[in-house]
Order: sequence, then structure tokens, then C-alpha cells
Amino acid sequence: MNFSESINLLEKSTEKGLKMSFFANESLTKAPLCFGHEKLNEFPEYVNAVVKIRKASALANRELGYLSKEKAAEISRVCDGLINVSEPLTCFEQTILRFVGMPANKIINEQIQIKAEIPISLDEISLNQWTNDVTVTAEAIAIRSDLSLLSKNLRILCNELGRKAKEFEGVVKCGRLGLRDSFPIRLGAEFKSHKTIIEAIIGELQEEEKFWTFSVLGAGDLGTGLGVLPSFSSKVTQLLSEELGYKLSLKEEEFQPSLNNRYRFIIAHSKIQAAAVALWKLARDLTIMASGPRAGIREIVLPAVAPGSSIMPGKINPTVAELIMNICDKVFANSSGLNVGVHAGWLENDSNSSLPLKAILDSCQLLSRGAMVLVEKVVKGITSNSERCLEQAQMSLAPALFLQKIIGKNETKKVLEFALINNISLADSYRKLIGEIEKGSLLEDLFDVYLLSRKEGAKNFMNKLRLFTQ
Amino acid sequence: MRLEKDSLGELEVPDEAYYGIQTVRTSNNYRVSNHTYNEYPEVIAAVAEIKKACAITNAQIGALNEEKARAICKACDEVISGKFAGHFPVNVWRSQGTGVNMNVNEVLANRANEILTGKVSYEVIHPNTHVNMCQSSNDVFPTAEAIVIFRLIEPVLKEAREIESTLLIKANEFKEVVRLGRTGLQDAVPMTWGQVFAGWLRSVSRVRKELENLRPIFQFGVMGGTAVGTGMGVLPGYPELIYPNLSKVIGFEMKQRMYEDEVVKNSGIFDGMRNTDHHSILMEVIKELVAAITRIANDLILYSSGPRAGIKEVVLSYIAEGTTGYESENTAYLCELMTDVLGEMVIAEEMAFYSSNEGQLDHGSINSGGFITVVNALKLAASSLRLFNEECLKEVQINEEVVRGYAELSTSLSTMVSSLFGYPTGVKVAKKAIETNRSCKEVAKQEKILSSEVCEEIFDVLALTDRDKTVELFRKYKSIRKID
Repeated sequence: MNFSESINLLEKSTEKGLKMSFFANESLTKAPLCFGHEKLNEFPEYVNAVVKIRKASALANRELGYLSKEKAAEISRVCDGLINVSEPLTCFEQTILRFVGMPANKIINEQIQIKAEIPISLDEISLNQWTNDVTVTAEAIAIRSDLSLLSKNLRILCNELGRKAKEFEGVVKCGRLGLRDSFPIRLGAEFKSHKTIIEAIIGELQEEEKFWTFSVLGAGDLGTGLGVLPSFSSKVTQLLSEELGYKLSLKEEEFQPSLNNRYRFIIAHSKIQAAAVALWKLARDLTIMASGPRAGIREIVLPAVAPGSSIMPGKINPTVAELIMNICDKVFANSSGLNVGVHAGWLENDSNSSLPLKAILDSCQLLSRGAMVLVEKVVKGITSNSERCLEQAQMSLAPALFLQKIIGKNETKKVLEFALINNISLADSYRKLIGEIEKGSLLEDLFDVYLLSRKEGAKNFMNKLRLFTQ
Repeated sequence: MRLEKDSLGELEVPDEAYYGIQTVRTSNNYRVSNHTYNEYPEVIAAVAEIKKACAITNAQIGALNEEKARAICKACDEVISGKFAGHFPVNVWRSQGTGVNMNVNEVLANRANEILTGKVSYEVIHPNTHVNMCQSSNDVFPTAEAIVIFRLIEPVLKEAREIESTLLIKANEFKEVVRLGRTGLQDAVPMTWGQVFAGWLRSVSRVRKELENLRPIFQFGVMGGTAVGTGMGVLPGYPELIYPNLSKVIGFEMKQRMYEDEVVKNSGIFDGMRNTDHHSILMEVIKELVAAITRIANDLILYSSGPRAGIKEVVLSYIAEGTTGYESENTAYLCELMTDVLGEMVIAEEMAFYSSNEGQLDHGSINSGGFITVVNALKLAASSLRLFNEECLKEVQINEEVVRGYAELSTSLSTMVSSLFGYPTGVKVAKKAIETNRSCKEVAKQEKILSSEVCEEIFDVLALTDRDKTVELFRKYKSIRKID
């Protein structure tokens, strides 16, 4: 069905006066494209979290004597069936009307009723659970899960970057500032620098993950616990922790503020955005280093993943690196949408919008998957063009800065001009204009790009230079 | 599975597929989301329409054998009609340009061959040589983007106009219904519901007109520019014929942007191929349109607050179960939805902005994520506006008793007293009214500040909503005014 068809359907459904609900296809008859193409199963982390909450609640209710053994066992069995599936369940294929919380609750409740072999009422399924406490807890579980996936995948990327850093340790290239030739550095160092930055961000993400290990189950709708039977809160949190495999902290003292924790979405997303900043820069650096094949700097070659043009034969574009830049842009854009999403709501609830959750999950998913694509399709297959790297490093005129401290300003000016006119390196220009460079001399060190591109070498050179100029 | 070959090597292609090896490559490359161009038949149709116009043009200039052109055109018509739905599996991320263009080229080539030879192959018609003749992904895709966006603006405009007509009806319906204006959520002076709706109406129609003015930007294409705008690879006669043919195929005028003060030939193409800032300009306006309507939605949430412990001036129709499921609750669900939609518009605008800045050197935006986000946003805007109008706005009812009561009881009506006797007297009346829980009118009467006759007139809340009438009142009671 295309867009205009769905608009027509929408037209028909409203003509008939059909009233809507939270599902696009229930209410707007069948007009899924109307609301983009969002389906409940695009948020599996969230749906799974709600299923686990239902299960843990049933078990808690049984232990506390609020629910019969049989019914609790049945709910728990059905819930397990909803999570441990190899194929996506069709029941979660529902197109949703923007909001995630309500449809997830509704579908899961329905599924439990349908799949249970004994009759279980809706009240029994959602006993002691309220929309607000369930939503906030499930959001936390979903966000933690995605943050942890992102850290994991970024770690894989870091490891690969580390391997490349080692592989290219011996490759000297021309360093650049503002894309202008500067002093020599190692190609490996370029990769190491990206790796170190991403590692620092992983630290931030892991720190953030800890925040999202809380439960407000038992808070009720307003944090007063009205509608929740005694001892449920601590029991369900203990059982849910077991279900999830990590310890949830029960924020009983802060129930009310925890239900309004939208500010924290901003903090979490800013850390994800930090990862996007790093990946974007990495991707862009890869495209410039790989520019060419003839008329670019071409220090590295990215593996070919697809023919790059429909009209120019043989062209290969750095499309995966561009892809990474694209998804990072989406993360930046999500951050603005997130601001709008949290920028609403009155009194006892923050905004009802699911946008903050969706923005965080979308950003995490894109970057997590993007990181893997980057590793598999690009980083693993990067090769260096070490001769070209070396040549560009040697051709840099930046060392003239130090040359003037050794041979004086006037002489340096001559060497520099001669190098420029004849398109030769500073070292060659010096040899031709002034004479041979003595072995072991300060000048030899200055023109030794291998030496100067290492921290130790640069230090030694600076020491020698200091002694020379004294 | 059939084995196909391209410049990078061999890959297996499913037997039933009309696409080919490049599509398989591309769809394996960018799997960062589960969304593919299969979900965007309007984009695929636009690319196929361009291909059809190109085949016609190439046949007209004698560059393409007529029989082949006819086969390509037939294949295009089939793709446009949706016959090959499901054959466009390239991911929405980074498949723009070469990815989608080659996907469409391959489907068309295979189908055209099938039409001519009965076999799915590139034997007679080659995707690059014949289908892509005189084109590059770099000129095809930006032009397709423009076509898609031009079309998707229409439903948004239509729904905005529908909202305007609802607001107009409501403004008339509630012309005489007096309510209490509020500033800073504090009681202010009377106004009518007609005035509220009229203000809303003007805001929506003002932005809608901006959108109408902007729409023709999307009638400019960059066909004939090929890879970097220079048109290398274009055959004689093609540049002159492509736009008239394309306009005929798509049903509205598409042209190349021309300048009277050309610096170099076809300078518009060098701009058009590199820049997509018009996407973010468009989204800025769409965002403002949705924001104008979201403002209405947010106000309705407040106006309808209650049913007991709120201001309950407005009654919304019962449209869905409340989020909390309380028996009495009538959630302002569609109003909240609008905030959510607005957030999505902000994302799309930002995304379009970042994308338009993601091009380098002689290439336009490398970010099709921006275009797709814009497409999603336009669809979402149209459908949410419709939903909000049909299910919420049209059904808005005013609790007339409540709103009139608020208007009459407002202590801010003491403004009239202070206009006649000075601010301190006004404050006195207001304070007394608050203390004794009476209206300003009663206080003014009892305190003998004004005769009851005058009181009836100058505290007539309906009259007070009309500047001409209040001016007239002051003219009439000039003599009792104690301020000089």
C-alpha cells in the first residue's frame, strides 16, 4: 500500500466514524504507512522488558499469596515463550501510532490471555502493576540493554583499530593541521588516537549503564504506591533482577521523582552522541586518508564494497565510511527531537511522548550496528600505501621551522625557495644547495621522518637542538 | 540462485529476483537498519518515471533503438504501478544515488529483456548502457528527490487547509461565547472563543502559505548534469528534450534552474547537484506548521483539564482508552500525539540540515538518511494533521456555562474600574472581590462606586471582548471618569 492509498483509507475510516486506539491498524483500519512504518517489534528491548516485568510480577504475586500457583506458573510460561523465540512473533508486527508503552502492555496482556491454557483475567495479569511504574522500569531496562550493546560493539571496533594501529606502527606519514602539511607522524598513531578516544567514551557509556539499573515497580501511577499490595515492590524487584541477570536497585524513597526522570535521557543520549562524534570523525578521516586513487592523498586504501558509480566505470567510493557519517548525523538529529520529547508534560508526569525512548534506542541501534559494519566492511580490510605516506612525509616543508634554528633564517629561506621551485624535499634542496648532510648530525635527525614521528625521537631531537642553540 | 558478475567479482542473486548483483552488494553493505527502499514505493516510482523520460528522450534523439526504448518504458510503467514491489531491498541508509539508481536500473533491464527475449538477463538491454543512458546517479537521484518531495507536500497542504476550515467553522460557532482570557495561567480579561479560534486559524494559514510559496523549489531538476554537473556522457539533443519529456511523464512541470546572469553555462546545475539545503528549509516550514497546530493541541490539553479538578473549559471527544485506564478519564491522546509528531519534525529538520552539510567537493549530500527522514516526516505530518483534525479538532466542544462563569468572576474585570477611577480604586475593588468571593460587578455596585445601571453595561463580559464596544463605553461614560 502506498502513501496515498493509506491516506484514502484513513479518509474512509474517519468517514465511517471509526474511533481510534493506540494501534494504527485497529483504528485507522489498515493505514500503517500513515504513521511511518513503526512497528512494536522495532523496539524488542522494550517489549522484552515488559514481558519480563509481567513474568516477575506474576511470580512475586504468587510468592506473596496474591495469585494462585497455577495462574502464576501459566503467566510465567507464556512470558518465556514470548521472549525466547527464534523468529520474530507476528503479534508484535502491529504498526503503532507513535506511542510504545500502551500498545506493548496491551499486546502482551492479550498474548498471555490467548496463550494461557487456563483463564486468566487482565486484572490478574497486571496485578500490582501500573502504567507509569511499568513504563519507567521497562524503559530503564531497554536503555541499559542498548547502552551495553553499544559499549560491546564499540569495544570490538576498538580492538580492530588497535590491531591496525599495530600493523601501521612502522608507516610514517605526513601529519596535517587544517589539512596543511605538518611534521611527520605514524599512521598507526592515527588509528591509536581514534581507539583511545572511543575507549574513553566506552567508559562513559558503562558508567551511564549503571544509572539505568533501577526499578520503580510498586510505585503505582503517582509514586504513592496506591493500588499496590504490601511487599510487592521489593519482591518483584528481587525476582526481576534474577530474570535480568543483574541487580536492580529499588528506588523506593525516590519513587515520585523517579517516575519523572526524563532529564536523565538527555544525559544518556549526550554520551551516545559523544560516541557519534568520535565515529563521525573516524569515518571522515578514513575518507580523506583514502582519497584518490590518483588525485588525492591516498595514504590508505579502503576495501571495495560496491561499484561506486552508474556512469563512471571502475570508480569505488568510501560508501561505508559515508554511511557511518550519515548515521552519526541521525544521532545528532535525534538529540534535538529528544529535547522536544522531554520538553512537555505537566505535574505528575513528564511528557507522555515515547520519542525520548525511541531516540535513545534508535541512536544506540544505529551506532551499534554501524560499528559492526565499519569493522567488517572497512577497518579489517584497510591497507596502507606506505611508500606514498613516506614520500608525503619527506616532502613536507614544515621542518623548515627547525632548520632556521640550525642554519639561520637566510639560508633556510634559500633552501625553502629552492625546494618549492624544484618540487623537491627540504633535505634534497639542502644537499643540492648547501652540501652533504653529515652522519649523526642534528640535520640528519631533522630530516629523519622515522625519528621525528616517534615520541622518543622527537624528544631526543629537541634535546640535541637545545644543546646546539645554547 | 544465479551467479552474476560485476567489476568487483561474482555474487549469487536469487532466481526470482529482478534486481541484480549490484543490488545484492549494496543491500549487504549498509545494514544498519531494517528499513529498505521497498517501504518507499513513491521513491522507486519517481526514479522509474525519470528512467522512462530518459528512454523516451534517448529514442527521440536516435541514441536508443526504439524497440528497446519501448521495452524499457513498459518495464518502467510496471515498476511505477508497483508490480515489482519487494524487488528494492537496498537499505535506506547510504543507498541513495548509486544504490537505488542501480537497483532500479537492474530491475528495469531484467524486465525489459524479459519483455523482448522472454528471459531475465542483461543480454539485449544493459542496466548501465541502456537504462542509465545519459544519466548518472548524481543527476537522477536529486531529481527524484525533488519529484517525491513536491508530491508529498500536497497532502500536507491539503490537511492544513482542512484544519483551517475546521478552525473557521469553530470560530463562527463560538463567536459569541465569552471566556476568560489568561496570561501566565492567571485570570486576565474576557475574550470570546471565536477570537481564540480565529487566532489559531491565522497562525495555521500564515505558515501554510509559506509552504505553498516554497513548493515550487521542488520543481527544479538536475537531469543532464551527469556525474558532476558538466553533463559529460550526454548525447546530442538530450538536454533540450529531457525536461519536457519528464514533465509529461510525471504530470507536473520539472525544469532546470536557469539564470539570466549566467557566469558559466548551466550554473544552476552545479548548485543543484551539490546542495540540499532546500530540504532543511522545507522542514523548517513544515516544523513551524506542525508547531502551530501543536500549540493548539497543547492548549487543548490545558483547556480540557479536569473533569473535576481542572479548568474544564473544553470537552474533547472520547477517542481512546486513557493511558491509566481510570474509568472517568478521557485522555487528550491526540493532543499529546502532536507533541510527539513535532519532535519528529525537529529530528527531520536537523537531519536535513546535517545531511545538506554532509556533501564534499563536487558531490551533493552523501546522506540519503536526510531525504528519507524528510519523506517520513512529510507523511507523518499529513496523516497526523488529518487525524488531529478529524478526531479532535472537529469534535471540540465548549463548556459554555463554565467559561462564562470564569469570565464574570474574574477579578481582572476591575481593570474597567481603574480605567475610570484610577489604579488604586481598581485594586480596592479587586481585593474586596477576592475577600468576599464576589464578582467585581457586585462589589462596584455595593460599594457604590458605580450605579447598578452603569455596572450592567461596563461589566457586560461579551461587550468587553470587543475593542470598539469598550471604546464606545468609555466615550459614553466620559463624564464619570475621574482621571485627568
